[in-house]
Amino acid sequence: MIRYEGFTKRYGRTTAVAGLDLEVREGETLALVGPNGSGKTTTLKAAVGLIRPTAGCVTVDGHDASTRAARERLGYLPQRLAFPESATAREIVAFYARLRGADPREVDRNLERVGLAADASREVQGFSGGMLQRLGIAVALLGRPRALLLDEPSAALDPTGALDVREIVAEIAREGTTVMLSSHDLAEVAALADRVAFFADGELRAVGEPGELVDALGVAAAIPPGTSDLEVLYRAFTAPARRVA
Amino acid sequence: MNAVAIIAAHELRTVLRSRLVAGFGILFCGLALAITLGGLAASGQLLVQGFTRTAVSLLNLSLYLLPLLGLVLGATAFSAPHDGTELLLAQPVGRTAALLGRALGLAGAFALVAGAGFGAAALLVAVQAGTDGFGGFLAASIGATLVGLAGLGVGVLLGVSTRTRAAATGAALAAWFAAAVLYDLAAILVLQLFGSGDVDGLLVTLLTLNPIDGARTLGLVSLGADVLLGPTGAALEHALGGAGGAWIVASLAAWLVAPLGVAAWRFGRRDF
Repeated sequence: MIRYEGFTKRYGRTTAVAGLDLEVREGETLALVGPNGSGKTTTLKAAVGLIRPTAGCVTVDGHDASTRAARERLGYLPQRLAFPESATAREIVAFYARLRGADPREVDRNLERVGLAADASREVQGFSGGMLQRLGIAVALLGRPRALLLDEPSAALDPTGALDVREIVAEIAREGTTVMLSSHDLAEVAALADRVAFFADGELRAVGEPGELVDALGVAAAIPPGTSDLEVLYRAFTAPARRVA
Repeated sequence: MNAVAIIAAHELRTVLRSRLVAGFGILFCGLALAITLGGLAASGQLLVQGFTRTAVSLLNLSLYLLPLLGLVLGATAFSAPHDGTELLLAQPVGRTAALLGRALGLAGAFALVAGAGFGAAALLVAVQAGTDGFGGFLAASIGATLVGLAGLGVGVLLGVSTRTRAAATGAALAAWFAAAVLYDLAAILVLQLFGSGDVDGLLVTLLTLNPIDGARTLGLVSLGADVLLGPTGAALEHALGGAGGAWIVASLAAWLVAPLGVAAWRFGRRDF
């Protein structure tokens, strides 16, 4: 559904992402994993058209990612949300609903869905980080997008907030919405992702189902008790200069 | 309702609730009323100047304050890396529409603040001293507001050209200081050095390059510069007679449009 073909992004002499070939399949949940600065956010932003490729292309259902047709199919949750503090939750969702041409009934429906119905008339300046993230998801779900892109949806949240967000995303994925998310939380990735893409130094080091990747690496027998597959894979694929075809 | 109108309405509501605009609005209204009242006479009676004198005083005040508000408002609205622009541009909306909508919302809020200040002053003068000279006051008020809006456009350009709020605010303050303070000194120096021949042409050129000076001069001429400033005013009216005044009006229009056009161009090519 979302396809990267030779996607490269450079800032001066710095290469953020180099020659990325990746396809996000319809209905799957794909997690982008890697250290800070490895290219995860650049990859996500390129799909929404916020970052233009230096080389290569990114398409959504065959539409160039910079077009409105592509963005009509996507919902996006940025890493750091900023809403007008004096606006209420309902006003914010209603604004984006008008902008997307969404059914006005979706405003209250989405607020209900993310557990903010009781706070819909409150100004967001009193919201916790978790509530703001859930409000962001309510916005991202407007217009029933075919794919949801989430940039570190549970970063900087307390465990309760992170678990709330995780449950909402899992429910959305179960309904068949394609989800692409970046995360540093391997437990979250294990709970949500069908496939995992490991990034390091602006390169995609490996992508696949965790079990398959463990088999491909041939390290299944060597995984110590109490260590998850993802931890092993993370260390293996994000180590400097490690490359797996 | 199209995207530009939806974004403009949302921005207008948001900006009117902001502390910067609310605080500035109160300050501007307070100063406008204070200038209008003019002070207390020795007898203790309140003196209210007529429209023409009030317009001159308000013109000087507003040509300092309104461009400052415009520059800072425009620059800070577009500068922060996490100011909501990312989420806005992730919607099926064109970048030009997003910028134009936000700029129109800011302009609407700005015009309301300026209108409140000038309106309060006008009401006070009309009640206390009648409506004689209201036309000149209105022209000066509109001119000062348009210069402030030009400042807003420059501020938006500075905002989309910088990466942090601090950098944008610094650039806005520097631009204001250069246009409102330094430019006059530079213009005097240029006129001293090169003004021996065609002073009128050089003066008009200098006035077209700075909308604050251009609007101030047009305002004074429209209020009767010869009466207000004597021989200097008469010389000014001569310089701006014919094509000179038209050039300055055209330059003000260009100052309103050009910075926003460049900002839209940069905004369309920027990564977020």
